[in-house]
Amino acid sequence: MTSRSRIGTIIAFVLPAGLLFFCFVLLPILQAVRYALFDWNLLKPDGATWAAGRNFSELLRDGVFWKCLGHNGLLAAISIFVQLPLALGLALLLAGRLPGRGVFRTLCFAPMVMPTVAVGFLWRFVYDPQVGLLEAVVWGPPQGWLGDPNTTLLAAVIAISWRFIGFHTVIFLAGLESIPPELYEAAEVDGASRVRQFRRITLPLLLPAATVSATLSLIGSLKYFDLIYVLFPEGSVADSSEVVATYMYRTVFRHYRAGYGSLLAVALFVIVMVVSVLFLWGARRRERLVLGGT
Amino acid sequence: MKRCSVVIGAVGLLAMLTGCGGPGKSKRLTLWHIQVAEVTKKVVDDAVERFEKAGPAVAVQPVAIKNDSFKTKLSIALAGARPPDVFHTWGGGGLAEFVKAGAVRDLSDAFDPAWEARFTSAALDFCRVDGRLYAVPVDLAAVVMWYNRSIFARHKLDPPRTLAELKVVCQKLRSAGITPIALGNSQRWPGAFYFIYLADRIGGGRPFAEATSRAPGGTFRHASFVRAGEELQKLVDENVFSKGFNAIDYNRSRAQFLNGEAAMTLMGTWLLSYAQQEQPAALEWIDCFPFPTVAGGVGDPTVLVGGTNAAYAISSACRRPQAAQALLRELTSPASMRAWLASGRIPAARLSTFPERLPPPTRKVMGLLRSTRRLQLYYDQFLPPRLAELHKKTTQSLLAKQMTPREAAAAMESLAAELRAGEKRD
Repeated sequence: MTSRSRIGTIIAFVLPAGLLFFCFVLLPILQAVRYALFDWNLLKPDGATWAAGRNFSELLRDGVFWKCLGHNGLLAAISIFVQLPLALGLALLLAGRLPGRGVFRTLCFAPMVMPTVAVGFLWRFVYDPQVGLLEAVVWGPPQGWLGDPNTTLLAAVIAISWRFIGFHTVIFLAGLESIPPELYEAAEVDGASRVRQFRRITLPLLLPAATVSATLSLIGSLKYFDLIYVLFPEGSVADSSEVVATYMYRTVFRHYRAGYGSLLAVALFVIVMVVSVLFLWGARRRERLVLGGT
Repeated sequence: MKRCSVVIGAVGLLAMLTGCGGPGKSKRLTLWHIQVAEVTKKVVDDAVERFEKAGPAVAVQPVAIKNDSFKTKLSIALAGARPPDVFHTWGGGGLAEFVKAGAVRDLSDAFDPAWEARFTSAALDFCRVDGRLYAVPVDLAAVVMWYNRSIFARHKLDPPRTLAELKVVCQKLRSAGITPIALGNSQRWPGAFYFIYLADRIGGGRPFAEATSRAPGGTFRHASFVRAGEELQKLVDENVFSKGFNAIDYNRSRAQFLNGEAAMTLMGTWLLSYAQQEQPAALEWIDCFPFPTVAGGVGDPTVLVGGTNAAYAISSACRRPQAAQALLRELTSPASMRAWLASGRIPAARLSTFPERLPPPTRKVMGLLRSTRRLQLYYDQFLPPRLAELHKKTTQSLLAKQMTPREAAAAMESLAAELRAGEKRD
């Protein structure tokens, strides 16, 4: 094959997906950047006025936006430092010789497969202040888990963690199974304890899987929308569990402010880009340090 | 085999093409409404049937959409290329927003004065924007305190007339283990009723009117709003509401009341329609009293908070406005009004003949409506969308004791001022 026909083949294969990507991902992002510069009432498609300076200064002053960003950050932190260790623990349990492993693995992954709205309804029942499971078995704050501003974010994070731990468990399981068992055997022969084996063999070799999980967690948490919206369709009390994505949705579809809403979306995009690039760069450096150059 | 698959393919393609209908090709008028409940949906469907039988061959395609998602769907449709021809509206600020965007047809000259005179003036006013008529009302709704007559009788209680009396009644009910007032405020508007009533009973209707029109001296920081917030928080302190009220929705609170678990609920007259559907036995013991007065308040005690919970407007993109107007006539005809009344709702027009047996609660409420001097439109329907959302949010925060009344009032005032400055600039 000559290089010209190869390029032709490559283009032919990439073009359909590339076109879709351009039309439905890249182009809307560019359009959003453009709309962010205007003050545009959603009901008046032709009535946009230039408002770049005003929108941007409003963003900087907007207490709700920064509060939402804080909630996103908290969600990301809990995802990485609580969900991942729990997922690792579960993966370790499931990797060993456990009777009924297959069943447990399926159960573990089931929350990911359920539709988000079903998960939301499920947790709304669990948290219900009158007939909820938590109220009956444990305890509930007087205004209800989903009504008390101090507990709404925690309630949402627990529901989100329940949904995603299975996902990370599967990633870690795949990582665990790719570690050659000869390494463990050699370590046993050398007299290493189980803990030592874990620290020196398992953890370092799981680093690529952990990086994948952590990156997905981070990006997902920063742009998360689904469960927060389903748990609080009208918004949480005093914005106690609001995230940037839900705030942006309300700005556009309840306040009809498509211009400012676009700016919120673009701001989130920029933040997620910067954070994930930095994170990946740092993670790759660590991987190289620990595992040696690849 | 190959020929067979070609034929199948062609037939399939043809079938798909017949499904396509561009604008103008469709001969039907689209009608978007929110009557998903069986009883009220029938009223709309019957009106559509009468219209289709009577008029020139115009078909109507009614689409029933749930209340919660209706506003979003409608605003996107009106801004897009295929808006519905006729759509439901609550009038007030929401309608005004669409009117400002040029999406609604002016109906001021569409109907003759005699036909317009049938309607209750309050209901018609809710459908006006800047003096011009943009919608025609079917429904009139008022918010009253519904109570369970058997629970009250069992505990020897009388309907309270003042806020202090109400608190005493609630205390007695609490100590008897009954939830005094059912409230499900996760959607934010049920709790707002309390705030609106308190503000009106305390300061009358002028503070709100002046604050929204930005008349000189008009402000949302008016003492009546601050005091209303204080009284609202005192009610929360007295534990008069359902447990976890900010976390449960309106359907739950309604179920609590209709099941007899709670003794009272402050809700609109549409409650009777739901009772008819969900718990007809409840109509035996449902009764109502007007919201109590507040000590030292200057508000008119006959004022009712209410609005029109079903009015119909025509979009300006409608290609057959004459047919759409005829449909509006049928939707608000005496026959429709009688059916609306029979479904448990209050019609917006005066009827010459009443259906035979009106349930006592309906009769009582209609009596209250006849003697009221003013109908205060719910704030969240009156205000422009951003301010309406803030009002609901601050009221919910007040109920959750997350904000002081002064903070809530200040937040409303600063957003109102900001919006007015923005309007002047544009």
